[in-house]
Amino acid sequence: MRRKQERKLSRREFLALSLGGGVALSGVGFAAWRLARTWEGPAEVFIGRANSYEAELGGIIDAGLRELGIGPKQTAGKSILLKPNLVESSPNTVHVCTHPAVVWATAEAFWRMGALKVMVGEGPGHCTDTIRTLDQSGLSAIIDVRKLPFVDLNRDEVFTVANQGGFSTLSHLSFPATLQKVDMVVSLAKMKTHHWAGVTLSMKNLFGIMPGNVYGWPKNVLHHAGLSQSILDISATFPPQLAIVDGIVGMEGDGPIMGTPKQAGIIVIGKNLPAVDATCARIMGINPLRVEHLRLASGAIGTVRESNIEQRGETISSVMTPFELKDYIPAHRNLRKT
Amino acid sequence: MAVLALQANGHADHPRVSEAVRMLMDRRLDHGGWNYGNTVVFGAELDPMPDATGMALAALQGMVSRDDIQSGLDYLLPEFNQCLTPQTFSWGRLGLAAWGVPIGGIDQKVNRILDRQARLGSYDTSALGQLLVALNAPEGIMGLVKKMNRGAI
Repeated sequence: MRRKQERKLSRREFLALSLGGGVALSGVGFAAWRLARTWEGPAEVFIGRANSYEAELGGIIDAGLRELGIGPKQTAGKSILLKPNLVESSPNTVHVCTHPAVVWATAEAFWRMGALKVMVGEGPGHCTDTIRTLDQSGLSAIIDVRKLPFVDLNRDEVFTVANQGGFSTLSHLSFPATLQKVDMVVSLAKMKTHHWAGVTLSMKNLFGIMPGNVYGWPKNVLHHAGLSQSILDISATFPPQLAIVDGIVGMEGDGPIMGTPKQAGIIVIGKNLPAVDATCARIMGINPLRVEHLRLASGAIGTVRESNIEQRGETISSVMTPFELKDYIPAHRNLRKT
Repeated sequence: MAVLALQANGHADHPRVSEAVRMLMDRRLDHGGWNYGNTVVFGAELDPMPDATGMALAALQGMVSRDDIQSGLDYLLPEFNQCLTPQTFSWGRLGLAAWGVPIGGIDQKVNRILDRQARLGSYDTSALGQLLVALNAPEGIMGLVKKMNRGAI
């Protein structure tokens, strides 16, 4: 239930007021906008229950998109890029990568709504064989160049734009050219704890759109420029239009690779990525304001505050599944504190 | 790659080659093989990767004893046999060939890898280039270099 309605001043409106309108969105401009975060507005997040990957996932995703007001009007004739988390994989594991059943169900949902083209793109975070990762994750079984093509974003052509976030030390960011060819990007993330970022959800998943040919592995330039800050910069400069988080089986402990499976039995969907991730964190028993990149995102590129998030579908309390955190991992310490 | 390049150009005894060999041996995983980066993070040993392992084995040819790298070969061979991707095939073959591990059915395997393009889409130039190098290096990269130096290719 929506608990609070606030006037949201958009980034564009703020710039028009404060910088005279004609000024390009720059690091300075955005930093000024960040200071004026009083206008943090509401967001809607859908939680659907799915006890296994054999469940009717299409129906759950359809329901979520419907609740969020996404239908053929927004998707018919459009090109859509699904960006799963395929950081690395091992055979017969379901807790490391976004499950192919979720990817397929999402693609089918967009086809049903008249999407012209749906493709899958990922630039795995680790310097290894991308096709082998596709094989091990099970995703290569659904990839088909004629129907659901795959793009290795690590090795795509790139375009470079000014960093519109201004959080990290990077003045410009380079993105894969495929992003310029699509109308909508969907961050199709996995629900996991993360040993550097605390959690990896729809925002951290965006590291995988950044080309390894430019940023190295595991996207070292971004780590060096500030992990949380880079996550925000990517989200601010090229924000996806939708996030879908696969929490049917997630990962707890030493994520994003060496942790253990954790069944949460949910899919979380929303257009406001910080709100989606904050909801996931709460389900995982984590205070999102203790996760640095979510705390920084709050009021800057979205909302994290519970009072601003209208939950659709299941309630957080009905699906809450605390994920194990490790005391020896600094990024996990104090994440549960209110 | 630097070790291979220096070796191929007659600098196998360069101090930087020795340093690189020491680093590669230091990064060998206890359970066999190599990851592309560290060995242990937060107390957990990382998983080996066949392409990184093949690359390390290719570079270590003639630099260390077989006992030093046997666990890497033991990891790599079954991974190589079951994988049908250009990158793993290429570096896997180059690593195994460097240490004289016999591999059969190369042509059939390459054909199956190329056939996968019908679903996956065309491989990029670097993947195809790696495949060509691996196909022409039954004795590893250094064997290929020797052939080239003799004018046999």
